[in-house]
Amino acid sequence: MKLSEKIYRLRKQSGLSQEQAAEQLGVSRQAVSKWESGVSVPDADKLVAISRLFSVTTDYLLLENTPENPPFPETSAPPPSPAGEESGKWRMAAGIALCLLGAAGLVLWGGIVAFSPAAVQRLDASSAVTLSGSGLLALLCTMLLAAGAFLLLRKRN
Amino acid sequence: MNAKLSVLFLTLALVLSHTLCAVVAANYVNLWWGGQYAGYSFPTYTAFFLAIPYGAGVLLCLGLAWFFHRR
Repeated sequence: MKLSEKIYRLRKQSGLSQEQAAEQLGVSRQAVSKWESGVSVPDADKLVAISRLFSVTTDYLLLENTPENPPFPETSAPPPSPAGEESGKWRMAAGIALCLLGAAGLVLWGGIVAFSPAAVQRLDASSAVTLSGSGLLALLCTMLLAAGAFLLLRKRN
Repeated sequence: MNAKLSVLFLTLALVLSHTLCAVVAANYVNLWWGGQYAGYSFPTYTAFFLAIPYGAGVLLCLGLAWFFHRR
């Protein structure tokens, strides 16, 4: 298999468009298109970038008598396990839910403060802590938002 | 998916910033009226303290929108 075909197949297997691959490789979409059609050949540094992007060896890219399925280099991380992907999805869903809950709570609290100050006074009067009960509610909502953001921004294991 | 999340958090930031303005304005007016006619002792500028949780929420949502936009 030729280099151009390999780049095309690897890109398709990775589910990337030409634009996305070009962006990650730091080249134009036209350059990727030319590599895939065999009009031009990537430079040495771009070959290394391609091998890293698609987790294959440069040998696999350059040598024509290589197997159909690209070998994963020993240094590359193993593909994510289904259990890991599942937990990542749950974490993302939980993060989004917490953010939405926090934002909705803040908007609701804002509505109460703006339209029913008497309710806020009642809540504050019933609070047994130094910080007012309504203030605690706002703090809780902000913390929910922050917890959601933490879950969303945390790197996957 | 990332584009949708980016729009979602941008919308949340917009909603929270509007709520911030409404809440601070309403509380400011309440405190001003109370100071003038009902003997409230709180200075009116304390209304701006209410902007703190909303400001934090807006910043978080903007940060998340930027993060998902870049991914």
